[in-house]
Amino acid sequence: MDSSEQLIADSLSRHASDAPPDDRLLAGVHARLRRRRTGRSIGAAVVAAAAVATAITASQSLTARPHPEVAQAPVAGWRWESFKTVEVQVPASWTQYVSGAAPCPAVPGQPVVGRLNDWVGGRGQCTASVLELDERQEYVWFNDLRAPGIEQYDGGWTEETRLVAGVKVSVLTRDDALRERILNTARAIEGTDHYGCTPRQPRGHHSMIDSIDDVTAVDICEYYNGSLVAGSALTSPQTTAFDQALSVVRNFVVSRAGSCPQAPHFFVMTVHTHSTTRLVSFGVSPCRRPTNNVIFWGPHQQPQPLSHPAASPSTR
Amino acid sequence: VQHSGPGQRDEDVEAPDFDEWVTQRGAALLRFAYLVTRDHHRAEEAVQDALISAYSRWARISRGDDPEAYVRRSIVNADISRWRRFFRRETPRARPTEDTGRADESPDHAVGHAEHDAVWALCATLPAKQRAAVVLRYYEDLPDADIARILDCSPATVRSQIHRALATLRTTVETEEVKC
Repeated sequence: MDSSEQLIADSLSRHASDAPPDDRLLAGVHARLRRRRTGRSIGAAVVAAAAVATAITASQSLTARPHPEVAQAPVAGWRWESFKTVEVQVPASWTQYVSGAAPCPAVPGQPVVGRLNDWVGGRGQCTASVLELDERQEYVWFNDLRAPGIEQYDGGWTEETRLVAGVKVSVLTRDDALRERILNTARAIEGTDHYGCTPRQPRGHHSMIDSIDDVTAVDICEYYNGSLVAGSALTSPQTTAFDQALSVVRNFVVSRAGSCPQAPHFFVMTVHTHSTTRLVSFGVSPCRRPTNNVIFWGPHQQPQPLSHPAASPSTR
Repeated sequence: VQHSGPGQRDEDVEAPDFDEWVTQRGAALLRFAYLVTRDHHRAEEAVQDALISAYSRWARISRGDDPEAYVRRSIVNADISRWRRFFRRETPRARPTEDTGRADESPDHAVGHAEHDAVWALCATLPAKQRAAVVLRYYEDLPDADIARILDCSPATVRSQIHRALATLRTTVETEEVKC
């Protein structure tokens, strides 16, 4: 290699370090693949509303469920949890929800469903890879910071992380069969998840709702920065489900006048009655996040007066 | 169940999973694409285009001996197509031998960086395929045969492309030096 060639090699090597990062590459590819498959299937029915979700005043009716392809009910005693582009079945008894990096935010003694949401700033001060034995609990965690692979810990605990559709799914447990079973249910969301949620925030026209009678169930899809945070379903009897869903949104919103720097959350609620299905959406721009984040109690579940917070999603 | 390409269910052949492969090779592909396209957006788009194209053929590609060659070829072709579409509308760049060294650098380093930046700028003047050949030779350090597979041409053509590219670069540098 002469000096000219060496100069070229050095120059290329130097500029290669300016290349774009690959952290969003796989998710970007899957997002484009999904867009190819699903096209604009959502469209007209979905509604967008105001920045503050306390005023809900109009309605729109549909005659059928918007996502008829959503199927595959979970096995009894299990329910679906979704995050961004992936959904996975977890035991219905795992009812504690956490937003943050594993394992620190978890409360000892209860299995956890964790999400490292985009609004959470990485690991923070949590540097432990696993909690002490007496504080440790089983969990499934979405998009935690650890790399795909298997980690063995003391006390017979094992954590396995798999990359599925661009999202990491981690399971920590002492039960190898349970770990395998959970991870084997993880799948890319093709079109919509179990609750009818698309991985990307749908766009559409709006309409508002002031009241709906004979509500049988409400499916809720929550989005942040355009990506699915979680889907869930409320199956309380009659109008309670809808009121409950609205309360969730009201509880979530802590808003003030003026623009807020945070990206808005977006809720799409599919309200089922005996005769119709209605879609309602709410964009909310919290200027600060309430400490009683709904995710803490589970996707879109009211903290009170639920006796079994996650029981309803598992039944659908 | 790992998310795989549509044909990944063929269990008789050990083929890399699409997601895992992209996770492992994504950064290298983006570096290659960036050196060829010289633009962040175009690099990301070229890599995504190539991977999307590969996804639908993943079972076949991954069973072959080198999925990377397929994807890199797609990246180069994507850039050539775009280049044709936009009539060689390149990203704005400084004049080839313009001194872009930073003022706070020591003289030796500043000269070195200026030379590198000049070479970088000169590479932009090369046709896309020549530029790809240069990147594959002088950054990836690949032999002629491997470059030929990626660029879908013969090893002799690769040697010719690189020879012409080097000649262009040397001539340009000499011309600029005379002007100075």
